[in-house]
Amino acid sequence: MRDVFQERAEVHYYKTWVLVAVPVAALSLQAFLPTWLPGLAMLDFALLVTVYFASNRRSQIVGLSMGAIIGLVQDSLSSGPIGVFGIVKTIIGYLASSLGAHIDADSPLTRTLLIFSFHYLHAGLFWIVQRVLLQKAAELPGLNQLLAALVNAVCGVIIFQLLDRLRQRE
Amino acid sequence: METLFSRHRNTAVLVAVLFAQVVLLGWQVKRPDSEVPLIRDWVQAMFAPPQRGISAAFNGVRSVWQNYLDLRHARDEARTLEQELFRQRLKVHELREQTLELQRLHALVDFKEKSPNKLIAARVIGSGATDVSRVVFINRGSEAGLQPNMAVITPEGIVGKVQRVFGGSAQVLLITDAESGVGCLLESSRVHGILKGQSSSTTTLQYVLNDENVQVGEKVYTSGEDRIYPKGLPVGTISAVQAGSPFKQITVQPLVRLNRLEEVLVVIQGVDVEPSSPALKEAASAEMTAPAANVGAKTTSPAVTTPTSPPPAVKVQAAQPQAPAESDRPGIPRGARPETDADKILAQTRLKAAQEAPKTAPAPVKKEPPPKQ
Repeated sequence: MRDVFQERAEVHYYKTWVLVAVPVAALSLQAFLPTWLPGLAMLDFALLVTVYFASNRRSQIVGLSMGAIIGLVQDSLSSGPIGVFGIVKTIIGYLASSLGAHIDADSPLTRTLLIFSFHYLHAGLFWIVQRVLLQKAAELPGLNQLLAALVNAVCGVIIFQLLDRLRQRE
Repeated sequence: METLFSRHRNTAVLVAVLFAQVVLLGWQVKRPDSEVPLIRDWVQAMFAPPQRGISAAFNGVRSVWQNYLDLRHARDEARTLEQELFRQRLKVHELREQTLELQRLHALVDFKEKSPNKLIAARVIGSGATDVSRVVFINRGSEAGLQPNMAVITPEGIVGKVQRVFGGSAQVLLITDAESGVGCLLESSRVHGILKGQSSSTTTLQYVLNDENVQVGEKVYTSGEDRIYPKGLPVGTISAVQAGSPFKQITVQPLVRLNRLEEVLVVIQGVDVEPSSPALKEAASAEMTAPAANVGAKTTSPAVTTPTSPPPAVKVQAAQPQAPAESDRPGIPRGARPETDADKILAQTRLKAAQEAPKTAPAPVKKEPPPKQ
């Protein structure tokens, strides 16, 4: 428990091509996988990548920047206006990096809780943007998001373990 | 030295990135019910409350200034406006009266132009001081050529006659005065009578026999027998008829509202006209061919016209006899006697005629059957 709440966590670095390729791959998978396997639509690869890099880099500016870029690209691939996911993932990236600076985000339990929480936060922020900014009808996140959050949490832990292999060794 | 930005750099970057994305979003998306981009809507929503607040504050200050602080001249201004309003109301009333007067004068001029009588207009300037005598004073006198026993009329009908003449005014005896008498005849039945005043608002038509056919509502005109009023001028309407002894009791309502006289016409030279009536035309022609058996009758113009639209003048009757015409009493010019004398003469004649009527009733004529062919 003490490791989870250590004040100064270790910062992990990645190569540039990793920082570009992984989000691209994640967005590509998110765009195309559901067409083959509809059940995979509940997986939010973009969110997982944002949370992973933000919590590992432990830099708020890096976190919010990654979230902004990934969100804007995700908007570009959708039919809605550009900026919805950008705003949401910017906030997610900022919060994830803030938390990652104070806790040990390498623990599977921590990661599970982190992903589960951020999934609901992401849904809530999305609802706020839709209703308040765009004045569009949107569904409040509730129990219907529970299964998706659990699936993302479990898959996220696995994906995080895979992405750990891409860290730069010091 | 650390600045606010450097101390909260990460937060500032977050805010900047979010702001940029929000602006991007607002620029793209339009409101569901209009074509206005969201960013315009947000900016308007952001600036509208302070604008409303500033406007409300400004209006409040202005209201306090106008309604409370700047009222030092309000009392004087109100007083001035009230006086001006009073003056304008008086002016309106004056203009209204002038308009009504103009209308009356216009009607008077119109009547004067169409009338064959020579008329002179006059304004009523006063009335009698007592309730018994019915007289009015007009602003024309001897200087205008008025003389006693000139008829005074209005376009509605007769008013009275000039009783006394002064330098610049004259006294007019109204037909409702007890001393007044006017020779009259009825429009339909052509019955003659004398109109007498009662010192009230109505008059009576006297010396009409009981067997005469007189109807309520029948119009009364001047007969011209008194040599004062030209024949054919409207007098009034019969309002009540009752049998009496020996004459009928007939009440006549004058056409002219004698208690509201303002402008009148004085007949300098009168022209007799026939009161118009479909049956009267035959009677008028019969009068022309039949001998003048009625006392007081005189030859009149053969023209048959309405009193209000008289025909071209055929005979001019001078109310001022320079060469006095013949009268029933030789040596005494007509029109120079008081009414009572003419009344007496006419009354005596009629009474005599009434008394002699049963004695001189013709014997019934037996009709023989037509011969058989």
